[in-house]
Amino acid sequence: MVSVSILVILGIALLAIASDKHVKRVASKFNRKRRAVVQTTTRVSGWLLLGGSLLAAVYAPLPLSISLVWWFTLVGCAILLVALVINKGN
Amino acid sequence: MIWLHTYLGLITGWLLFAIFVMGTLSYFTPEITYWMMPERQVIAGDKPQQDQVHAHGQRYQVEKSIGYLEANATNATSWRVYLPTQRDHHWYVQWSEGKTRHLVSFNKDAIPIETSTDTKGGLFFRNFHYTLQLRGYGGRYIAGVAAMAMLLALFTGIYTHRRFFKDFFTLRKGKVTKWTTDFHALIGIVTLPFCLMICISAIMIYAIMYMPFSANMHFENGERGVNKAIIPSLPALGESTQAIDKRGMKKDILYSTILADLKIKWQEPNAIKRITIESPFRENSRFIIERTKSLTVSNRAERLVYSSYTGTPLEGYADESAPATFRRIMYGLHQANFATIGLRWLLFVLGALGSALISTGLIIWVNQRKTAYLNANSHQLGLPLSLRIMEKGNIATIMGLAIATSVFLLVNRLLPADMANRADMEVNAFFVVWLCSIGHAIIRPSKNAWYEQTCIAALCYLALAVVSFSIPFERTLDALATLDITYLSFTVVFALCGVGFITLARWLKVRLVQTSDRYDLNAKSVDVPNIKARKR
Repeated sequence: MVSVSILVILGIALLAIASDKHVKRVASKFNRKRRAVVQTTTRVSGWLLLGGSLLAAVYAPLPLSISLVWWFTLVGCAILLVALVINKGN
Repeated sequence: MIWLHTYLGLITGWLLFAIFVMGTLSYFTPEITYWMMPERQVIAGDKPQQDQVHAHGQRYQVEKSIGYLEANATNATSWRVYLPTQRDHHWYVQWSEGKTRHLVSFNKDAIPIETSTDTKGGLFFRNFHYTLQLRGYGGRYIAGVAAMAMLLALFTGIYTHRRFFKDFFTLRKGKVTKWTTDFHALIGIVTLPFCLMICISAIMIYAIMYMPFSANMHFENGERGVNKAIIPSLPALGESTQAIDKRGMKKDILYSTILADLKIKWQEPNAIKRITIESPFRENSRFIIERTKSLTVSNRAERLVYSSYTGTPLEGYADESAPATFRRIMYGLHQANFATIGLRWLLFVLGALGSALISTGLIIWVNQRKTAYLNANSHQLGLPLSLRIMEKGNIATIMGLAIATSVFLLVNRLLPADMANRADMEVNAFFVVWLCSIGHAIIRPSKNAWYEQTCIAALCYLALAVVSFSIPFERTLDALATLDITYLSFTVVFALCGVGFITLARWLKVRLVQTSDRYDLNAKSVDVPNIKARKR
């Protein structure tokens, strides 16, 4: 579950960075076209990591139902954690 | 939609907040009971330890329990042995003789505990959470209606805060009202799957009770009839002779053979939760073993049936029907018996966030209406009655519940052990303190009431940390010696709560001073033209 947690937090963090409000943090130096590319790449990477975390949870050595409860709970807590951290710097 | 979200939240908000707080605490029901009964000690451990109990594990506990029952419960029709888990550390046996029910708990050395603390323990929070202390008076119906309202509020909330999805991961700093609104929307999304699961499973658990018409029409005993029809049971035991061996002695229960067979089937440590021995001393006696719920989401774990005197496996319980299984899964999801300590804490955090979601919603409504009213009616003194009721109610519900909970735990340690109706006194203290909080909120101006009640909560939790550490001090020393993290963590959590409330009180104090300064300035600005007018 440690690897699932890491993947979930990284995935949510990438999705947060890719959101319209926060994307300028990583793509402020780029022009509009480049910025769109960076935003899409970050967003896709975030979703891929989240998908990967779901796969890792499914194949974890726990009953599937319990793994899924873990995954949903981790996603919830990760969203809050990332939102608090990313807004602290603003 | 917005109207529905607002008024559903307003009407059921206080009730939902109390239900959510109590439900969140219920994730640690056995642990709270463990703390509230200091005579209990660590029995079930994770790793094999040096002492006798851990060296032999559950086999030793079964052997001792059956030995005790064979000597002391000869006239009982059935025996029950509850083995300790890492969460409750409660090892006890139960039997009934006629209408008298007997319960004997053991310490880690298998010695019966003669005196135990008379307390409701963590079960008080759990029962309050769904019965509101009104069992038999419609408490479960009220809690069910609140769950339905919460479900509706969740869906309408998605529509009400739909713009938030555009600015996801946003918490505007600066103005408190803006931050609170963002935080409310954010935790609404964070806890959405959790709240949906909790509300739906809560409704499903008592679905037959909320919609009894079909059950009453098709079954003789209504809800009980449905349960009897869908819950599988074992065939009734017939008459049988006494179990006597060739030497004419009473036969011994072959628990060793049964446990050896079980060790192959259930390989996790401490796999047995409960053993029921039906018709002990009879030839046809049954040995029913129930597994712990750590590996299933359902609230019904696997059960195996053996013949007590031959050790052969018997035909067990039939598989439950799909609707019964579904209801059990809903039950299990709601109670989270399967959750290990990490997941349990995460669920606790989500429960606490759910409570914060409700409380921020209530506070936002009052603040927005108050600001709008004061802007529109600056010449008038005071607020309308409805706003005042909401404001005072918020204080009494949010801070009152925090204080009452701490007092409930505090009283557990301070009341004399031999006091009559001790358990009821703890509950009474909870409600009396909550009532005092309501009275205080009504008497005092709102901002002062917030600040003062936060200070009281901080004091109570700090006192609780001190009391938890010092009463009984031998228990703390024992916990330190055995590295009993569960027991010691209560002191730490109480201290952290105390520090949290101090921080909140200091923040409220700053706001209180700012508000009084603003009033002084306003008063001066009103007074200056008056003085000038008088001079003229």
